[in-house]
Amino acid sequence: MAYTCTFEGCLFTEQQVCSRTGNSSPCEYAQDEEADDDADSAEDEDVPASESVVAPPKAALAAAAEGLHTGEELGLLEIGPLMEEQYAHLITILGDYKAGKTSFLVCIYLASACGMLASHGLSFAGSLTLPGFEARARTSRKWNPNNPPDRMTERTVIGEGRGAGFLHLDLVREDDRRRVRLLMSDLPGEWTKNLIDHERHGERLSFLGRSDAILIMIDGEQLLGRTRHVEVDRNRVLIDRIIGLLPDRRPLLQLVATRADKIGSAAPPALAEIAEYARSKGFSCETHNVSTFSQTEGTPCGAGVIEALKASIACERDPPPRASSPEQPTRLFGWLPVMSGVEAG
Amino acid sequence: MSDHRTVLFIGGHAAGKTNLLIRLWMALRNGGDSQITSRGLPADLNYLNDGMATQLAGGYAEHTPAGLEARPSIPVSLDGVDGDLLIPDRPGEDWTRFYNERRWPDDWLDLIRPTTTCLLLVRSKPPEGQVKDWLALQHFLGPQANFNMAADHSKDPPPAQVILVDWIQLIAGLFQKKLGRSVRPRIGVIITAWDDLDADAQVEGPMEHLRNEHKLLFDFITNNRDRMDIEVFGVTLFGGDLNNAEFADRLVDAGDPRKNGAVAHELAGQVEVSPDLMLPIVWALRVERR
Repeated sequence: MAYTCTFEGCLFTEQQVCSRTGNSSPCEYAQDEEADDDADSAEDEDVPASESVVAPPKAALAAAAEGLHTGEELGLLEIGPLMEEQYAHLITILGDYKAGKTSFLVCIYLASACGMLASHGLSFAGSLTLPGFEARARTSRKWNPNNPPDRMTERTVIGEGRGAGFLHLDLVREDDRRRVRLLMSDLPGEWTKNLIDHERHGERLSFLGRSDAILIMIDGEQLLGRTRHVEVDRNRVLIDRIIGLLPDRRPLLQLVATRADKIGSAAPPALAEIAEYARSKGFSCETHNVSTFSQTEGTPCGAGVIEALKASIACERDPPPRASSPEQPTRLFGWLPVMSGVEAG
Repeated sequence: MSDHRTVLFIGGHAAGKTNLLIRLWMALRNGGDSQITSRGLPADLNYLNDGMATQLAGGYAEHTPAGLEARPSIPVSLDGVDGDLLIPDRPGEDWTRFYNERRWPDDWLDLIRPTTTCLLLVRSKPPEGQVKDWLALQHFLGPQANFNMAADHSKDPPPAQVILVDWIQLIAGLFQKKLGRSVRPRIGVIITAWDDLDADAQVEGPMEHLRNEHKLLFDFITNNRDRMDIEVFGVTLFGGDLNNAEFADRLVDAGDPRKNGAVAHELAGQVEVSPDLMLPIVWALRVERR
């Protein structure tokens, strides 16, 4: 494995010792020179080769030299200072490939950007990973009335040797004006699959023990029909694997069925079955049906998403919903081309 | 210089940095009722004078060319205290790089000082604007909006509010890294081409404009006033659009263009409009040493 490191003064390439951490393994500033080539084959042979792939974040690493945040996802070392500054809700989001993990994150970001959080008593207060959210949202900005996309975000890939990535969001709860810090994992589906298949893959999820909430995202359509038995069994195994990685305490467990636009808002019996199993293992467990990007007129985009988020940060008091802004089709709502166009007067 | 005050203009391509800077120079030369007075001429006047001549003839100056080392230092006096007002201008490309590459311009590092204020510019309306998110479309235009649209905006640049919030956070990070975590960054947001908004929106004021059109930025400002000094201004250079030939002719032919222009602000807690174009600079210069 050949690495280059963008961290100033690091000699990992020559000495195989990381000057940031002192470890013999590379930190997130190291780049596997072969990673890009290997990304397609990643770790899961079941993933169609035709799927587009998000390369590991490599832009913006110059920021490290100036002590600025890179804007992309934060590594475990980088979330430390954020957690020291104020209490942070660490939310681990697990789920298979195509379960909708990244879409869930993008949906929360877009809800922050358009003011949709206001009706849930929340408002945006900051994020050191705005470019990371933007990069994930970009592919969702396509509309084709006759051929809705199968998925809205690109597949998450983390290069070999790189640790878990987190997206940061600070919100303010409007009722008590308290600032709520969120650190939400964005992990490849292969991490969940591999954890189910092999105990040895648990080490890189060591932060599970610190999690305030663990969300298991499950493709709602897989919970119906003949595939449901397999889903129940796989998720029971996943819960057992999670327990093996936890100290004594049990974080809140949220079972999230995606594609509510296809399966409706009632929890599928298979989801309830998994929840029952989790409770029998000592978890406090809730179920949610969500639809991030709806393809059905009867189900709004974002249905259930903020509710699941609020439950994960234990926002128990719901202020009455506020009226949304009046509709004016010519308005901008945050959109304005800053990086191109003509000079204004 | 112990009390050297610096104002940095930050904005993308269409924000109007160059023309605002030139209009401010014109206002400073014109004197009037502003609390800021000129103490003399900058050493290098070519860039400012050329732009001023263009504006006085009823046109907009061309945007700042990349590579131009434009750091005109303007000697001013405010509240009886002398100072040098350094208003470096930089092309929009540099600020695009700030977002994409996370690099503060190297030759600006010396400007991160306790007495530096950053003014971020954003245009009131783009030449063409369009909502490009599923959730925003649905939230503002109703549940059908997403099903009737055919478009591909996946390669478009990020929205203005995201870039501005990111810039503010980067700037705050730079100040804290260089000056300590207790530093309180002073950041002004200037909405340019304020006259481009309809009359009702102008009456409602700059914060309401942000609340209606840039909710992410509005929320960020509202929720971070305890961490930074931040104010929002709406600025019209001449009270209308110089690209409108009829307006430009009327402006130049009917009187003195320098007597036009205004700033909408909420410095006293309610929306007010001032003819003093230097008002954002007065606010920017009143930074206390930290």
